[in-house]
Amino acid sequence: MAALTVVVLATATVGVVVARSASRSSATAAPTPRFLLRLARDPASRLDIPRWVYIGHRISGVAVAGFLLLHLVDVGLYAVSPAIYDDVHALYGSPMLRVFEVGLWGAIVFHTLNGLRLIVNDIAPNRWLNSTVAHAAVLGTTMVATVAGGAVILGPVLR
Amino acid sequence: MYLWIATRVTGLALTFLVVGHFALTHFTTDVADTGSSFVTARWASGLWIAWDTLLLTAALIHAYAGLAIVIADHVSFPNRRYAQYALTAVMVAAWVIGASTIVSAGIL
Repeated sequence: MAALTVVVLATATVGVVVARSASRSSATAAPTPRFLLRLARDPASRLDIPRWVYIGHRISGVAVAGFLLLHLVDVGLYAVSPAIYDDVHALYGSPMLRVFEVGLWGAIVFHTLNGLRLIVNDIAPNRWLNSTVAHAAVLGTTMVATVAGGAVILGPVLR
Repeated sequence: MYLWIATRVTGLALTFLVVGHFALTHFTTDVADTGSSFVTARWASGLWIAWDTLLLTAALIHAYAGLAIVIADHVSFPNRRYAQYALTAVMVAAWVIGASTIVSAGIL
């Protein structure tokens, strides 16, 4: 019984030490007063759409830039030899890469729409453009355009 | 400041250049039909050579400016300086590869 108490106390102590150091060293959801306040907010504001749009803008930008570099290499093959270009280009019509192209289209549309929102807001600062609704509108329009474009891109494979 | 303006000016141009390019190569033409004969036909026109040159240049300036901010935000000293050098080198090399492709295959 005494041994069990020691084990339980030791476990609790380690638990507290780990939890305290984790809450200090990382941004994960430790049950701090701030975190509990955040839980008390309504779900829509807890979701924090503008923050995810901000992160998404950065990630989609890096992704599209990465594809751009890849694309320069594959088009560069055309200057080397049109036959080699055609060999590599055949991949673009494959089902797997068509799915990738739908993702690329989604990233382009999202980055474009959110970028236009930012540019207009820079030229003519506007409360609505910074609202959650405006950010959600960017996401919604992106989804609609991605589904529509995806249907065209995947059409020849699905048919 | 210059990069801030360049990001917005190129961003506005890319709205038309990139979306137009993607629509041409994926929507009005199926991607499987954009092989070398498609490229040959397109680069017979000075308009498309101008379009692709503008697209290449604007996209790389935009990518350079954006990635410079990503590096500044996420890469710390002492790696930051090397990341910036690498970024500049990659972007210049990418422009040289793209521009020489257009010049050698499209113009010459």
